[in-house]
Amino acid sequence: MRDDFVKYLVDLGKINDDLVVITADLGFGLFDKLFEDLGEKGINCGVCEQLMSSMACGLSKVGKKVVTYSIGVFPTLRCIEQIRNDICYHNSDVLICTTGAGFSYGPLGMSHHCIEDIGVTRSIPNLKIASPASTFEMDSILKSWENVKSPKYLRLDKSFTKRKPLHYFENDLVFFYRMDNKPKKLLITHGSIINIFDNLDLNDSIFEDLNIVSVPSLEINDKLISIIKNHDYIFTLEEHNVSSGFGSNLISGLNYLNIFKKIKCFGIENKFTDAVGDQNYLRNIYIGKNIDILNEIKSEI
Amino acid sequence: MNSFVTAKNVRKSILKMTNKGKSSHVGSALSCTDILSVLYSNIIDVEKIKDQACDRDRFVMSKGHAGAALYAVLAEKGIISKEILLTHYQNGSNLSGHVSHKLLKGVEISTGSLGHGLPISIGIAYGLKINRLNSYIFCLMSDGELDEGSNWEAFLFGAHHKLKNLIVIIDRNNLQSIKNTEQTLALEPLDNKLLSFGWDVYKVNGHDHQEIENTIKKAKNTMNPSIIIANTIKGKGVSFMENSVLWHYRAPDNAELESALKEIN
Repeated sequence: MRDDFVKYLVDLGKINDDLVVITADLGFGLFDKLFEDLGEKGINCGVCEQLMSSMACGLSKVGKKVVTYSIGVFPTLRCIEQIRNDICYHNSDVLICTTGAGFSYGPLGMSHHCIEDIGVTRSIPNLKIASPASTFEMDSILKSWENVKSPKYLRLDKSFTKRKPLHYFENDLVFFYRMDNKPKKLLITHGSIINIFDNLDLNDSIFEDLNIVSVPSLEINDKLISIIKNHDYIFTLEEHNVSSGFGSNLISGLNYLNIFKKIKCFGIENKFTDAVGDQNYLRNIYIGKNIDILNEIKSEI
Repeated sequence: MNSFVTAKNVRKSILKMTNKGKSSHVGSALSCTDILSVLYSNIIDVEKIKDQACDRDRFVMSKGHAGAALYAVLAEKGIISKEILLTHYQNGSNLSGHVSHKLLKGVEISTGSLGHGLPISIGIAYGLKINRLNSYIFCLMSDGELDEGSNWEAFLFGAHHKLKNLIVIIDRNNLQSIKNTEQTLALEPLDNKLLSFGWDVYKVNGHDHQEIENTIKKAKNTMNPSIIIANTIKGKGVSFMENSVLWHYRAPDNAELESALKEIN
């Protein structure tokens, strides 16, 4: 997804003279072609995430369309006040991009686990947030953001689902991976974690009575609401702190809209993640194995 | 209107605004009054600000807590209405204690949390440079604000990219929230520190209008970003407010206002 995102920027730079891309000294080799094309509009600002975010606001004030880039929580948690006061309060045309959502950089340790950033950023007004499960979803997100001149936050994961959605509503950023008319249960996934089911047959009996939809955006739109209303039991699954992530956002958002549903959220407990291991290993420890999650869903009535 | 008349009127407005609104930071506002008065009287083309022209010079009030001073200057120059000054800090006002661009024409950037104005100014300066515009960006900082690490990221970047269209003015009144800067987190030798970062550094008397103006004009013609360390007195112009941390917090009561206005007059 990361490489595809940079290809998108290369193409965007050819048609939009105002594009400025800033990296906080990460993305070795990634930006060579892009920065060659962009010239002085491709900036490595050094390991300075606070500066990167504030200067993005300043660049936007003189008409630039800015992308800031780093990995893990660095472009968000390190500079959250700069995102709040500068980028978002000034409603700047800035796209913040991180690669390494969730446990993408698992073995590097807790500092590189990007699992609280949604919780912190989702409380800031004006900021659109999305975590695609694949390049297919990312393309839809970027298309839907094409004319959005306000702050955006794109969380890219190293992993992705190899599946294509069976059915999708591109404008609403809703992607069905398992869908029929009977199920009363709906599993909503956020981000690439849907790929824990990639090695399973979605027609297997364990998926009986269950629809699966990927929703990469934090926005609760009418399409999503109508889908939720058509189900009795809602489950959410994400590679993020469960106390403040996609599921929590959905619960509080539906509550605000006076829509009350039985919702159970699967995610990471609100504890520091100090185990060492790759993404799959940490998912199994902190979220659960795919079969265990499906069995739990099956048993919930 | 020349800068001296502007400064006198601005000081009177600051005192009346802080008295009426019972607002804090009167000392900080008075210490930078002369700097702002010179900038808006003799350096910045105010008509371009009113028109929001693309090639206008930009001013960023990084020490946003001295908002009363900026509001008063903008009113003196006809950018905002003088009528609204006395609503400062009060319910329903557009004049928040720290400056907000959302509420007022003439305020380029909202500040309040320290260490933001300079990094934003870096972005504006870089953007103006690649837009091939010859405008300047002026950023007024407090000295206590230099404790914030984000500024030092910006100092590195500004020199590395030779942002010569950026002129930073530090209101060096030596006092911060509790004690003086050297007792709190020593800044000196400030000029050498900034020189070593690769900026052109000047020192001026921050209440001498001619010296401020001459130095800004000199700073506009260099190949590097510039920093003007303006030595000032917190609370300048009102004897009982000068060099006192108390007036970082207190607002003048009616008797103090009367006495202060007499001094200014």
